[in-house]
Amino acid sequence: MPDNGSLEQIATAKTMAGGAFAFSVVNPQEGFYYVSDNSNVNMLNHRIYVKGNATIEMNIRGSKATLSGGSKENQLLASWQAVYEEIGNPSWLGTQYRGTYEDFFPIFESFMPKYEAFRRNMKSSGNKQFDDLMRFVMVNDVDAAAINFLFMPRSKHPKKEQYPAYYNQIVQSVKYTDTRVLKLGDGVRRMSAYAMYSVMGKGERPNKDDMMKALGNDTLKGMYVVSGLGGYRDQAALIDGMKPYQHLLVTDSLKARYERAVKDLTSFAKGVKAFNFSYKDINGKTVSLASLKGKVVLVDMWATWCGPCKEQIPHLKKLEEEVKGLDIAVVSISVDKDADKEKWEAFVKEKELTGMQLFAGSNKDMMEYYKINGIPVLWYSIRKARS
Amino acid sequence: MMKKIFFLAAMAATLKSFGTILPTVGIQGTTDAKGPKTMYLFRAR
Repeated sequence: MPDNGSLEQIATAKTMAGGAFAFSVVNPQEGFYYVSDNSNVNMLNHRIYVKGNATIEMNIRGSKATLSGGSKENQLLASWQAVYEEIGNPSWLGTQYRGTYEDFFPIFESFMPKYEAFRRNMKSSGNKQFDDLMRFVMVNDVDAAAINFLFMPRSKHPKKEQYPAYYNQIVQSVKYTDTRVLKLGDGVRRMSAYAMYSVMGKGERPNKDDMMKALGNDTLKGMYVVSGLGGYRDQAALIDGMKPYQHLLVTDSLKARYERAVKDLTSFAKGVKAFNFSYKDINGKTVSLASLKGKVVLVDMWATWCGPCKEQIPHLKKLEEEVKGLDIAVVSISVDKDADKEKWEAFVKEKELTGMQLFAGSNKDMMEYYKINGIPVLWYSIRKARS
Repeated sequence: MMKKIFFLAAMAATLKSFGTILPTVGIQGTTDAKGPKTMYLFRAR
């Protein structure tokens, strides 16, 4: 299977007394593996190189990990990471790192001579192919930490002239000309950040084509385009938007991901019947989309614990007033937990919520159908509801 | 009977060879995170 620059969870382990944990990987596929105490792949994790028969020791203290053992390749990686964590950790900790560029840039500048010395004196792992990969990874690590730091929300932002000199030479046409970055579990993320950095401060709002100019390899461009497919919510727009990039779907895997994205949006396609939801209202009467036949239906999915949802309430009330007398049904569907049904009922009465107030509770059928993973969601059927 | 013994011996030899052929990487460590934690192992793919 080709590398695709992302992470796949393969095991979990519960910590024992004293925080001890262990994993065993039988017949491992050689490559980069990552250990984390968080299931979110975008959070800080600790990288190792797994190969052959070996035991790797890892001691995690706060955001730092001390690594030892494993293959010669892992030992080389571990010695690099002991140097790299000085800039790697503040950057990959994201917003958990409270410092600003005023803290990070001096750290970055003091890291530079150590980085240069490590590259000059790098010991061989005995595996030339891996050593070549490591030379690429080291540069990529430093670029990625530098860029990632800038892209995280911070309380203060530097002007371009305040950047350390290293930032001026990050973008180079010789980088991203092959697919080595896809061997890293966050390869696509790094590549996308690099493409975005390449157009920073270039005036007009840059588009996808401008960013892709920084990538000198069709597979990487294909990966970049495909990684943005999740942003589409309309099947026709996706198909239309992807027309100029079909030639970049150079592997079966990229083609399959595109086809899956198109299929996933079938439920949003024009002319497709809307989901026929069916939930009880506050009086215990079942209301379904079919029962609203002949009306334009506006659906608001919300919950009493959702701040932004509650902020919408006055606007929805105003809208309900404006559409009174028209064939428009405003339907609010609560996705509060079943246990909070009474809380929902009290909230509806206290705030004098109008429109149709339905309770979906733990019934997630509509959320699953439309792949909704956050609220509030406002959705409407433009055509009148059909039975 | 002989056939059965030969078969069992062959099975044992196969299993033994699997035990030595399949490489295994153990990852063991400690974390100072408070309380019981779930640790996750990811692979780059």
